[in-house]
Amino acid sequence: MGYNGAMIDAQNLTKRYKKKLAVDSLSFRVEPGKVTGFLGPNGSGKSTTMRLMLGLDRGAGTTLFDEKPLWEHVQPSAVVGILLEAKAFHPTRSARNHLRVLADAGGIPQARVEEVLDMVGLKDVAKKGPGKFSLGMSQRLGIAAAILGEPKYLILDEPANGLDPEGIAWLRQFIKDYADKGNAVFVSSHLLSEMAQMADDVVVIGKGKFLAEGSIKDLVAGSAHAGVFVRSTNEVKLKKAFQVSRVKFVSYDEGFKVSGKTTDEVGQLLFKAGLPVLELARQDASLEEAFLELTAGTEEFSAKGR
Amino acid sequence: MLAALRSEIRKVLSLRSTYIIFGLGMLLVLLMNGWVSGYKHSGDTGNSFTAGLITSTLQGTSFLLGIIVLLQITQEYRHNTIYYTLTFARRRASVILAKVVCASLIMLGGSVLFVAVGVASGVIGVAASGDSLGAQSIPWGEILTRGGMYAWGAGMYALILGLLIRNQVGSIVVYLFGAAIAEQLLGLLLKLNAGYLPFMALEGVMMQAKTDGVFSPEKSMAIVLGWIIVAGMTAWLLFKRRDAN
Repeated sequence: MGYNGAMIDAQNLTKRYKKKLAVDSLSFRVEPGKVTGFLGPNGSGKSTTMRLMLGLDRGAGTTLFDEKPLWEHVQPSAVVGILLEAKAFHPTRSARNHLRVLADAGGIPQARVEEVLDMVGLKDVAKKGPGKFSLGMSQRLGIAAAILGEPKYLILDEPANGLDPEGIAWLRQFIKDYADKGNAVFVSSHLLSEMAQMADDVVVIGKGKFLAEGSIKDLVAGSAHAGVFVRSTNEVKLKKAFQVSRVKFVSYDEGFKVSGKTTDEVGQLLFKAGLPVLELARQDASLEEAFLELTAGTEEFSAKGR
Repeated sequence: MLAALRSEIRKVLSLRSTYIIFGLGMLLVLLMNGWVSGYKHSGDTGNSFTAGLITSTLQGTSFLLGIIVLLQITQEYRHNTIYYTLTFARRRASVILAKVVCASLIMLGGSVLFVAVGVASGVIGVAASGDSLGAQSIPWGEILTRGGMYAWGAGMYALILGLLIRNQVGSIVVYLFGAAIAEQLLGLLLKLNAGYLPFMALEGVMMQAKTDGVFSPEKSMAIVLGWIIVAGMTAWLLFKRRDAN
């Protein structure tokens, strides 16, 4: 979907906590009809960025929702739905009352509360205080709160946290369906395999700085881990052929991984060198490999010896 | 603003703590007015008996109602629901205004209920003891002005402390004990000017006799109003400028 003003446009978001620059001039766009993943190591500023986008944290920069700041929209609850904390509810106020309070605040009809309770599968426990809910049930209540106003945009911070495999599958399908209706979903998660299945685009940050933006396909294709795997009968001759042709390669699993070339090009190179091809295949990088490559050195916390 | 106010009222009414505190207040009123002042009265059932019941009920229950206001504010920070409150509102000013109106309704509405039960239980207590009340003289204008200001002031102090401190336990401790202890100590320094301190001034609103360091009810009301305006503006500015939580 092309740019027609309908999107979230974050520009130069900056947040400083005393001496620490938590978010540093971050700019990106989130387009309708897509799920945009927000990736970054722990402590990279993802949650702070989301709060800045919503005006919850005070900092520099602007975020426009359909070319207007959120507070200029007549009904903000119809523009953006949020899930920033899994347990953002009073533990003894019933799930139904929690949503009723939000419906009142957002100018949303009370009948919608029953609809969303049904959608997230919490109708049977709606009378109970969510303090005793499992993390998964809490996340479902958070999703219910996020979609209460049928917003065009969803901003979800780690919504898959604590969900069981069935819950994750439900969430994945829910988010995809929501985006397919022309809405935009901006979702952070540290579950990269999940993100790979869920997101169309990604925004990657590290230490509060912008690192990359684009489709997952482009991101993994640009990774150094992507390339062509080739195996032949004579490793020495093959290595020499690569060196003569100035091809970038690394030893990999009884063969070589060549980067920056297509399978056709590598095949022709082997043919010219007179080498038999035992194996020739394109190897895509995983999102995890591309992510680790992008964020290398930007981790706030990392284990020794990694 | 109306949407935010509806939400604030539902927040208060959907919390168990509201009913527990209100129930405790009712028990206190029934015990003190119905039993101690009514049934076990010491013979003083003159024409100011009912007015005395109203005053003592307000003095005994306003700070309990203030705790409901404190919880209304601080539970938002404790449980992070402030994120929803601020995202759904177009302006932070409308959120704070809704909280002020809701707190005022809690204080004034709750006080009317406590006073009604307090007076009724006191009168019934006197009747149950075998005595009867003579004609009562109730200075309604003075009671409504001073009593209303006392209750509303206690509520606004709670709201302002909640917004400034944000921490639930911390703000309750300051509201119930910290401020009083600090003002007692400051009172030793300020002596006759101690009546300018916020909680001292609030007590001065309901004081019958003139005491050292306490000003007249009218002057005390003006001081309380001044504190509410100054501290309220500070709380409002911080609410606007600080991160949501």
